[in-house]
Amino acid sequence: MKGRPILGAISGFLFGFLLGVSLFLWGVIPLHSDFLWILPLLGIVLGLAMAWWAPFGRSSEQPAPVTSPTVESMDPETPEPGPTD
Amino acid sequence: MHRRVATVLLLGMLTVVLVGVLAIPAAAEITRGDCRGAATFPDKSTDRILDAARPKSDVFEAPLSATVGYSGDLGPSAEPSDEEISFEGGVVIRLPRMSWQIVGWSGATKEVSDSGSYTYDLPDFTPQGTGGMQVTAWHNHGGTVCEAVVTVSISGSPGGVAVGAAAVTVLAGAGTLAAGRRKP
Repeated sequence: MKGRPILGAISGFLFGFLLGVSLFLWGVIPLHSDFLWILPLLGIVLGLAMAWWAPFGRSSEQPAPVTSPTVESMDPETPEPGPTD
Repeated sequence: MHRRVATVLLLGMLTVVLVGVLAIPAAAEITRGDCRGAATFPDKSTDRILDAARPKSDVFEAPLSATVGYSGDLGPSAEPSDEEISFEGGVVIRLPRMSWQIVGWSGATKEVSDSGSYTYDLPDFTPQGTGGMQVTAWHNHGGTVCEAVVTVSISGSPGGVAVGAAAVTVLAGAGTLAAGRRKP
C-alpha cells in the first residue's frame, strides 16, 4: 500500500461510527438502525481503500534524479586520459 | 487500475447505504396477543396519548419529564380468575443487533388489567430530537403472552452534543482522507 492503512482503518472506523451517532442525534436514523454497525465497517473499508489508492501527495513513480559520476564509480583499470602530443 | 477498484468500492458502499435507506420495513405494532394499552401525557398540548396500537412508523415525542397515566389489559375476552396467576414482563429498547431491557416486573394476580400513574424525569443531557427509539413492552400472564412495539423520541432540538458529534465526525473524516497521502 502506498498510503497509511493503520491510520485509514482507525480513522475510518471512527468516522463511520461517529457518522452513525451523528445521524441518530440529528434525527435522521432510529436507534435500532443497522447503519449504526454498518457505517463503522464501511468506514474501515473506506480508510483502507484510501490507503491503497493514495491519491494525495507526491507520486512514487517519478524518474530517478540524474547524478554526476563520482570517483568511486569510475573503473580503476581504465587509464586516465593523458596529455596528447 | 487502482482508481477503478477504488471507484467500484465507493459505488458498492453507496449502494449498500441506499438499499438500507430504501428498505425501511413497515410493521405491525401489537406483535403478539390481544392485549391493549395506552399511556397519557397530560402536560402535552397535542398528541397526548401513546396507544399500543400506534403504528411503529409514527414516532411519539415524549417530554424530558412527565407524570404519565397508564392503563392496560390482556384483551377484550380476558376475565379475572379465582386463583392468582403469576406474571412477568418488561420494557425493552431495541438497539442495532441487540436489545436492552430497561424495566422489568413480576408477581401474581387475579386481575387481567391494571392502571395507574408513573412519574419520570430524565437528566438534562439526554439527547433530544433524535431519531426514534423502538420500545417493546412485553407481558407474560401465566403463559398468555402480549407484546407491543412503539417508537418514541425525546422532544426538543439537537443540542451541543449533536453539534460536537458532527464536528468530531468531520475530524475523523479528515483523518480518513489523510490515510490516502502517499508515504515519503
